[in-house]
Amino acid sequence: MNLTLNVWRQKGRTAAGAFEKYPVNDVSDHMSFLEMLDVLNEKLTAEGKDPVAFEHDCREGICGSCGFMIDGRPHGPMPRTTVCQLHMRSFKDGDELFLEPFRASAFPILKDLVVDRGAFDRIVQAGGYVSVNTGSAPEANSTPVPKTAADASFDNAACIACGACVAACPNGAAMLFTSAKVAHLNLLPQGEPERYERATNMVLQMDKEGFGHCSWHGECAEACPKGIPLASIARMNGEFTVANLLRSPHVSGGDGGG
Amino acid sequence: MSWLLTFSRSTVGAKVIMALTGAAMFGFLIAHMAGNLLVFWGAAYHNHHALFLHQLPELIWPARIGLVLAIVAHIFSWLNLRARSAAARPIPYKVSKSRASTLYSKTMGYTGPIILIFLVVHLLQLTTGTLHPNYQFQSGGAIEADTPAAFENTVAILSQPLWGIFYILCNLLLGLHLFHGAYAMCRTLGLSGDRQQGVARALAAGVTATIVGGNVVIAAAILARVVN
Repeated sequence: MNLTLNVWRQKGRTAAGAFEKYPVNDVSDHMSFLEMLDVLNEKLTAEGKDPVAFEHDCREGICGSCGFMIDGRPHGPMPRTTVCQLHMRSFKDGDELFLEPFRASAFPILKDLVVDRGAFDRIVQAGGYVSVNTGSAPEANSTPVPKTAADASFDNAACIACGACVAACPNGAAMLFTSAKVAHLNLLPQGEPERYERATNMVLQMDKEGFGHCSWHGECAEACPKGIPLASIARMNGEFTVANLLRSPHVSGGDGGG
Repeated sequence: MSWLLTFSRSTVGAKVIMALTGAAMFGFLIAHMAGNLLVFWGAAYHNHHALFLHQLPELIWPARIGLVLAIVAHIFSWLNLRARSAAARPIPYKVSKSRASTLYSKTMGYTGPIILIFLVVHLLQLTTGTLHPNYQFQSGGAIEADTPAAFENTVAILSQPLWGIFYILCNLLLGLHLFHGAYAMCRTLGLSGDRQQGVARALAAGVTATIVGGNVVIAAAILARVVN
């Protein structure tokens, strides 16, 4: 199949960007989207031009490195799919596609389709950990975890921090990401001691990074390649509110005790 | 009180404030609609209900002040959040396709200000009488002295076709706001888990249909001269 790509090209953080049009011919149905871009980049390199920068690592849909907007949707048209697992059979011959980086002030563009998602790392540093006593190993069955809590925690732990939720949100909010990280640990007994500090510190760090608010459009959960439920945000709101109203919050800026 | 400041300035806290103030306004809207259903029983009942409320200043004034504060807090929280979210995505997408947003969720920022304008018009017409062609402070036919002419004043406005249609349209727009607002309220307050999403939607639909349905039936009945 033959495609026309309109790719956002931007040399650096502060450089001005613009769309550039590239025809890509003889694309196989079996290629992944990133392999199709590899072919384009081989061609651009052979012509002595700058290849299109995009982030990628495992290409198995589990690392969270890849991701950009394909025709107005993060990771493209397929539900629960990362760009690396998106195959060209999802497109038709003659399609014209717009490839844009995830757009958020908290995700500055580094080059072309690559954005800096360091804001996510700082949110995790603010509370996405549990404190464990070192020394003797605990008895394996000393901390029973209810099956329902383990399942719900695991569903949230599936988050790969790709940033699609921020990209899809009309408000540029990181609520789904932050709530997944909060729920992942707050649902488990291991996360219980720092439960309320975690919710408070992670939400405040999220705000500090300049992400927006939740309007309950639900775009994030639909865009999420890992199916993080929208209910996680409701859970985080509850944890944050209880932490603030019923307890005095210990805003420690991510310096965990233990 | 610094925790309250931190809380109310956070994106989650500001939404909680919007949800709680929204809940207060829901309570008012239900009571307001239910009281006005008395127009179907006639002028005596409707006006006596107004008299009953006027004779309870210890109930009316705290409620009025509370509602004004709720509206102010609701609007300020929204302005704060809107400014932050606009700053969160300064450069829009060239192509943007939605998967989940609804008509209700997308129009919240428009239906809100429309409701505020409607509220001001409504108060100027039927509370202060400023925008009313022949506002009566006392009902002529009432047995008790100082009975407000709530019925006569309401019928005089809503029986005029343009005003009647204006009130019905504003109520339908109010419905758009309430439907998403009630759903978002349940979600924001953390009351809605995975399985309760359907419950939140159903609850929102029920409350919205009750308020808007009641108001529209009243306005339509007066407009059609069924009530006069």
